[in-house]
Amino acid sequence: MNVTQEEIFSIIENVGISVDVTQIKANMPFNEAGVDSLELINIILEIEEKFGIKIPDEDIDALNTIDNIISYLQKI
Amino acid sequence: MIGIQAIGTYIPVGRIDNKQRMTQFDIDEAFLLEKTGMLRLAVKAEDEETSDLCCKAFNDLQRKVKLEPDDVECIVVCTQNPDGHGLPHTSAIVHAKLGLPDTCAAFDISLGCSGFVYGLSVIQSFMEANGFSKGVLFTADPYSKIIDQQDKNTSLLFGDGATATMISTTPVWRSGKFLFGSHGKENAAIAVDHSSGKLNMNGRSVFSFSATVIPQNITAMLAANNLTVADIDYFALHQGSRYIVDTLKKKLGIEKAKAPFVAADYGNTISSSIPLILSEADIEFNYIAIAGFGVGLSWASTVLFKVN
Repeated sequence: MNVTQEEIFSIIENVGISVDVTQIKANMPFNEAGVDSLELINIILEIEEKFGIKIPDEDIDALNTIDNIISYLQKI
Repeated sequence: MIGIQAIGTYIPVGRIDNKQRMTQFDIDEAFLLEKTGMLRLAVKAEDEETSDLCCKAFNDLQRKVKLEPDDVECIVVCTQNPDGHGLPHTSAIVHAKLGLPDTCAAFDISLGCSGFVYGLSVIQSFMEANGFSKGVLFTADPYSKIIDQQDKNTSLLFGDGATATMISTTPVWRSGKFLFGSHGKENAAIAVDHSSGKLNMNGRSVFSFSATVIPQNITAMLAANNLTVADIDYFALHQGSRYIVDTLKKKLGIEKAKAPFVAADYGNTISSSIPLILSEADIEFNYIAIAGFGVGLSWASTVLFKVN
């Protein structure tokens, strides 16, 4: 699956998080960027809906940066 | 016609202050304010039983509407934390404590956060089938009995409370079509551990369920009642957390003021959360959507129509 950083940033912006999306770097762990666990679940749900996929619970912990999310989706 | 005439409530005075526990659980104030939303949690007195909470909600109901114990033809208690071990049923104990007549039917139903909506359908159907004109639906599920106060997943969320909803033939609101659902295969997502007797919750599963299934359910329920989100004056959504209420509002496109989060001072009171909102709602609202979801996993929703 071909996914761009812009698409993931757009999803995060659409979900609405408590920190400024523009301050998040693609390789920055979400918890360090100030994205909490509930917001991350919401981001994953939005990705599932947008791309029509179901991400298994055991895969979610590894999706802790935007880069990791993109790599994961590219392998699907 | 049968429906809701009035709602009595009871929130115990005891409180746990979550701001005092931020260091213990490594959270900040923003997380309490914006995510869980629960700043304080109501906690019953040690010697207060589930039936006592019901009786106090009934006493509040009597302050709001003329209702003598002798007039009550049936009571239903919705709880999963009954008096003792649940035998006898808590409604029998409430029946005795309130001095209700021998002719009054009394039974419990076992449901969590969807319990008020289910219970409303159950008691109304039971009353209509038997020609009753006055009944009371109680909700009382004191989770303080089953919370491990060291468990970050659960101990910051739940509060004790009870409600007593008078169902009668002179209602303020009548219900429309209900929509129910269950994901029994996810029953372990919110469950009491057999060995510890304490509550376990998979927060990720519960949030995912709430944020995906419930918006679809509410949309379908509104369509079944020939309504849309824009038609609804007020949404009484189960108060699982501020974040889930905010997420549902966003997904459904509900205006901020139309779906309040009111549980900051007492916590998630399970099946009592919806009637607690309704007890404060403007009786001039024409359409109120109610939606309960949680333990089971189980969900239920309907619309309340103002009776002119």
